Amino acid sequence: MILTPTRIILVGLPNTGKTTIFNQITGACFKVGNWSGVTVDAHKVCLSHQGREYEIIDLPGILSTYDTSDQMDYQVCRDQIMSADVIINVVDGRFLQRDLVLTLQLLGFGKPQFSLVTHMEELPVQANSVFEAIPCPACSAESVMLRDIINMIPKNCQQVDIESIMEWPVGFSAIWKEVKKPFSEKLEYLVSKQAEVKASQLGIEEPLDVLIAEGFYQTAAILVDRSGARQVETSFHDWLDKYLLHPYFGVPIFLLVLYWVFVLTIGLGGALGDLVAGHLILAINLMPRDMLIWVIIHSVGTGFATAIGFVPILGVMYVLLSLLEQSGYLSRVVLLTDGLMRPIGLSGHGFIPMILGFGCNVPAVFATRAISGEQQRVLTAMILPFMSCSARLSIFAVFAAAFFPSYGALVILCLYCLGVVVGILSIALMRYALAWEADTTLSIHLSEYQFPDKKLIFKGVQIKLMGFLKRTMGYIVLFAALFSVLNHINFFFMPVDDQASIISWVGRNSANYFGFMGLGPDNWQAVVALLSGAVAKEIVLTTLNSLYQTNVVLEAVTLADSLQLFAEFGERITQMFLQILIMDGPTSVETTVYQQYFSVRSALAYMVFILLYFPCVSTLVALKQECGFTLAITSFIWTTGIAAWAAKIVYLGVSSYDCLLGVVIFLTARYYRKSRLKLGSAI
Amino acid sequence: MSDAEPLVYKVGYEYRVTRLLEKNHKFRNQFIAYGLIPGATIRIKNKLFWGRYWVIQTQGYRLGMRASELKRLQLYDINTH
Repeated sequence: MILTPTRIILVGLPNTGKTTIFNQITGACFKVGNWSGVTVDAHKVCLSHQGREYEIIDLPGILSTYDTSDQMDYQVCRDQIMSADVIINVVDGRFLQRDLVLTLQLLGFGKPQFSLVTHMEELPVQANSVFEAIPCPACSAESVMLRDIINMIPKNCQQVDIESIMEWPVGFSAIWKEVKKPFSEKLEYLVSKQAEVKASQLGIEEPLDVLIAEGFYQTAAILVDRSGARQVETSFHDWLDKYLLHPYFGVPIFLLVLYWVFVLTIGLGGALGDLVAGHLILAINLMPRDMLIWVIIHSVGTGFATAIGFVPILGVMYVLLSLLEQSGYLSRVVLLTDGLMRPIGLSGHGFIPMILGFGCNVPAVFATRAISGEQQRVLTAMILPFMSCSARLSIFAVFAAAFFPSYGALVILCLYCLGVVVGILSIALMRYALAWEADTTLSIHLSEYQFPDKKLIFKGVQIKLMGFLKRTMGYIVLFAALFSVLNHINFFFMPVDDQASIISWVGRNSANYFGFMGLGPDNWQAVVALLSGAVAKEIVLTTLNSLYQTNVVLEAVTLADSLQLFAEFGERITQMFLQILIMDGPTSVETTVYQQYFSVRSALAYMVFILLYFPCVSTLVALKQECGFTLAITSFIWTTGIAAWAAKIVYLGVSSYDCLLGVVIFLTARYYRKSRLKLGSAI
Repeated sequence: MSDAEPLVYKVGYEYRVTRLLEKNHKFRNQFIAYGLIPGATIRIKNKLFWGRYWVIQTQGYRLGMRASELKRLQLYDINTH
């Protein structure tokens, strides 16, 4: 006879420590954070102990057990609770009265239940009598292991008569007794529309969901008051909020924190990434070059170096965001920035990813994972490709210095603003077409301040980086390697220089189609550079210089230059805080060559195209992972299309066809919106 | 509280929730789940951006919200002046 495993579920309000306990019990490494909405799916691990099988399930945080809204986490939790054998209610010791509300609701399911209390040191001594009064056994969650939990299970077979504990509001008891259903089903029924009719028949004017909530909160308050376990608020949080949310100091403090996050992510992370990637390239270039095998190794190695270069940037970003998350400051950031984001249809949750996008789009896309709400997350991710990253800045710097020597900085600033404006208009159009309602609530729980836990940060960063390496890195290596191979061989698979490669052939033959932005057969090299920019924007200048044969080498290629890489790393670290302001200008040779191939207008059109077309394959892969394949492809097509349109307007001016195209786009969005509204399927 | 005298929120003051004015089911449930129900007491902790954003304390924890959300609660001033 096969025994089914005993299903033990961890249930609690958001951000009470369920996943931490789950990881502790099972030895798993799921992501935790001082932030509501971290766990979005149920985690499950099967373990055996003394010959018996146990299924431990960690559920997303829920605010109630009878909410019939269509949020996914409530559906998941209700189904799991119904099928559970044992319920472990995780209670945050800092908010006993609040968490007791859910404890009481869970008791209504009639399952064996006990409580694990986190932050036990914050509980008053009298709190034990609260749990004894229910009765619902409780113990500290610290250092609890699977055997401790299993030992507690046989003691909890008695069912609690929740009806005898509840203190319902006056007038509510009548309808409560009228409905003949089990406790948990009665709650679900009473918040439904059918119950409204019955309530009005009984003369109850107050909405039933309010009366039910009042009953639970009232009962929890009475239990706490009777036991003398009322908690005293600490002044530490008040003191911190006094400065961090100060009407005048709050924003400057936030800007300072943001500056550090940006500088460390892009400056330190970028410098480390270049150091690692540079040494990989060195190692590859040590091999003899006259073989096809070298082309393949070089290509794969280049792809690998491109991908591995992102790891330090992501690692630094994840560490910093984890620090902000765990300290409790991240929720305050959302509040401080919501006012800036709301006019453009986003919430404060999207501010940090947008700022990170000005450094590098890849970590910015991954940072959107922390945004609660699917629509906000997708909208933020879709605007990120328009945030001009630091790689594009280096291209702008060279072109601006070559063609706009007197006011290059102004041109670059205008390009940045153009990118932001186009991004805002794009997501406005997207929201209109998809009939997504504007997010009208913020209501964010401000997490308690706490000292970040080093182990949790390390585990969290480890999980995220492993996720990047497993799911994203392969694609980046593949695309970068493919481009590199095609850039070093001809159609007979013989190694050639880049002037005679497959990519160059494609560039020469497709240059005619880029006449709308001032490119043509006499400047096919610029087309090839655009193709190379699809892999990484950093390669655009390298490709241009190589094809224009300006003999400017931008990467180290010999063993002796390893020391040079370290020297550059040291220089970047010491100048880290100014790194974002320092731009490498072109040499005089580059300036002369570029002026031979571009006019002022075509150079500006080229810069606009680079600004707006999709950032790189790495960003697309990140978008695919975070938002799905469809949205990633949509982003690719939309950004490239908008880039071509804008570049055409810059080079050839506005024509009636442009106005017509604008009208067509709007009418298409309107038609799509009507279809969605008709189907009644807004996301 | 009459319409002619809108309630002025002050930092450090306590107010009692008398009604939920929110009709949207999803947002209403969110308010209820946070304990913002008739009879609950809230304390204003912080005022940001000239009253566009507020931090309130209820049921022992802090909530940040927009002014428009706070206005969806009918509040009663319980402070002794």
